Amino acid sequence: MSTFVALTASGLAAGAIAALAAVGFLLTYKATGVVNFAQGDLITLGAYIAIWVTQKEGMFGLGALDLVPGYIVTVLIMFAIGMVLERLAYAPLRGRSIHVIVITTLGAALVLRAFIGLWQGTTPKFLDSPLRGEVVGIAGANISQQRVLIVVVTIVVVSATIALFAFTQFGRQLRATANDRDTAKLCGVPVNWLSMLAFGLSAALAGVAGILLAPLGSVDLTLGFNFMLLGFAAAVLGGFGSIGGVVVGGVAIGLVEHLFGGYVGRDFKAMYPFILMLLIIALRPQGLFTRGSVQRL
Amino acid sequence: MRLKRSVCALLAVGVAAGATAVGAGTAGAGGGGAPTVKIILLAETTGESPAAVPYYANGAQLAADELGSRVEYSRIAAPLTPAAAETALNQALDEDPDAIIGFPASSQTIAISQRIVDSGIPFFSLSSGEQLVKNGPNGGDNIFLIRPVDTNVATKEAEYVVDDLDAKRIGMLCVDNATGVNGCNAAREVFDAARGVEIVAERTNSTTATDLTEQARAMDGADAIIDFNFPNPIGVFAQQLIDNGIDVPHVDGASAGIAVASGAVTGDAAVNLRGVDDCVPTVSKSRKVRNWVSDYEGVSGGEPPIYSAAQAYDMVKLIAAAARQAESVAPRRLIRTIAGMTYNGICARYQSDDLNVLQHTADLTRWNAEGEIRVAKRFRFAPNELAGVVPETTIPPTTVAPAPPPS
Repeated sequence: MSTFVALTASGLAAGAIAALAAVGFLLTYKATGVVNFAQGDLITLGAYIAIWVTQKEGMFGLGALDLVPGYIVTVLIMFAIGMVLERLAYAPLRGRSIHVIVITTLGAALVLRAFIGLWQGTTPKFLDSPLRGEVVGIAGANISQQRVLIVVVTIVVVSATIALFAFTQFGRQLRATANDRDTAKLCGVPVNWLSMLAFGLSAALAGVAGILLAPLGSVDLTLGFNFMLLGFAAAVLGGFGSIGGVVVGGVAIGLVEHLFGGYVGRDFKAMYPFILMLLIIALRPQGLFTRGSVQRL
Repeated sequence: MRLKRSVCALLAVGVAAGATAVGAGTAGAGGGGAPTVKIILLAETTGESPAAVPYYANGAQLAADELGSRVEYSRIAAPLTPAAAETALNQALDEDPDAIIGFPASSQTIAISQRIVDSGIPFFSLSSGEQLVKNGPNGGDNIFLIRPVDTNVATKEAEYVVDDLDAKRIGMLCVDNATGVNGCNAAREVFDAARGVEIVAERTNSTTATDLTEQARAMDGADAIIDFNFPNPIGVFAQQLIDNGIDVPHVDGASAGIAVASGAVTGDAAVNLRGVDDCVPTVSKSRKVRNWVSDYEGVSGGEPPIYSAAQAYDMVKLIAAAARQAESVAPRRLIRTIAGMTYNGICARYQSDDLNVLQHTADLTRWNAEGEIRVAKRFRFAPNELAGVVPETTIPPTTVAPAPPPS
């Protein structure tokens, strides 16, 4: 029983990070129709920026911030980086083939990774957490409090994002843009500004994911890449439709990898999320939670 | 009075003789007798590869600075992919070097080993795959392995677990690439051969794993854990062992030191962890090594050196010493000289065996709860120790003292 609980907790925590990445995917997709494959490297960048602002001399030698203020500053910096990324990597190509733009986001990912390597080097680093080394006992299993924090913060952040979508002008405009960008523009929706905001929010979510993920181990240049893939799989499961759908997709991905993979074919557990994704693409290409028909691949 | 005059005369003669000796030494060291040797280092210092670290370049540059005109040193960035590594090697060969130090990853060297062998130029491998030993499938007369062979180190780690830790129930974790597979295969042989030893769990993980709950819980009941892994998963695993109440010795390789240095492993997890480094210059009691650490920190902006910095430094010095002894930089003479000499460096005492392996020691390291490192044991590897490889020739060794820096 305790192993089941421990693996469930691991699955939920991994699923939560995947869900944050997936919501980031969804935000940019809704606003621009682009799947931003730089999301994984934005997660990595978020972790490195948090290290930068909370350790040694801090940013620009201004002194290291305490952890929580440092985390907040990191998220704000990531928001700004997302907006800059939109200006540099997406805006100049607006109107071009979607394939060109998607490849550009991959290029942006490589540029980000190279930048981090030049800036911070490749030696692994560590981001501290207020809950470091603390565990909570649940049904005989010791669960790292950092993993509990990951789940709790993800619930809060995702709820806030759902509220932002549902109850604010930004959310309504974003949904209108997602439905028909040209009509939204004719109705006075500032689609360019909206696009920048969506990239900014998406990068901020990646920053949150990086901050939550980093204290579980060392931080290196590949930290976010795997979660970008898991997030994409989660978004596919959710059909790139609703936030709730991709979050459920994320949780499913995490549980399949850690819970199912903890008992069956352990050596292959990293494959299971993607087998699930391929099954969904084959059997229900519109995703688990999206109504209506879509084109098959 | 006469006696006094005689003593003065003797002193004068002594001083003159000393001055002459110093002068002669300087002339020889400065290039009067020794040919200038052209050395190229193939290693990245920046980039996304985990092998892109400053240690090799800093160490080699420090040695080159000390040797002055006796070496002509340069570095070419060699990215991790075999194709990029081959391009870097071709660039290096175009510059007609006398010796090449290179390629931190075995995958790079193995992929283009034939090209290296064909060149005939002495090549000093920074990686330690067993395939690269002289009579191995990717080895050659001109390829020298600076470091102890990977599988030999893994075997020593396993013997340490059985003999020193007296563990009977052992858990194994193997990263799912050559590091983990080769390491675990070598360790398994030791455990299978040991009386009363049982492997209670054997698991794998990916290099990017951020959650090893299942693997950690599977180790429950083990007396000791042996782990062949990368720094990031080690940090995760070491902490998850403690989280799950598995408070037993945990033996890993060189990645353990990187994981602890990053700050990811502290407290009981650090106390339980053991790593293996080729050497740990920062804790050496030798005055020579302490001075070198200080010199290194002067060129690295205060970052302390690790074994790879010391080895790169040593190799530049060793090559220069070999050129001086051979009085030539002709490849065959250099190779023959290096194969027969002993060199006392910063990291180790290097002596080529019949497999062209130069270093035959490694240090088992431990940490306290704050992450301070100490050497707990020195592993010694017998020359030519590698199952299945038959040595070709034996050259009687001669000893060469480290070359002094030019005045």
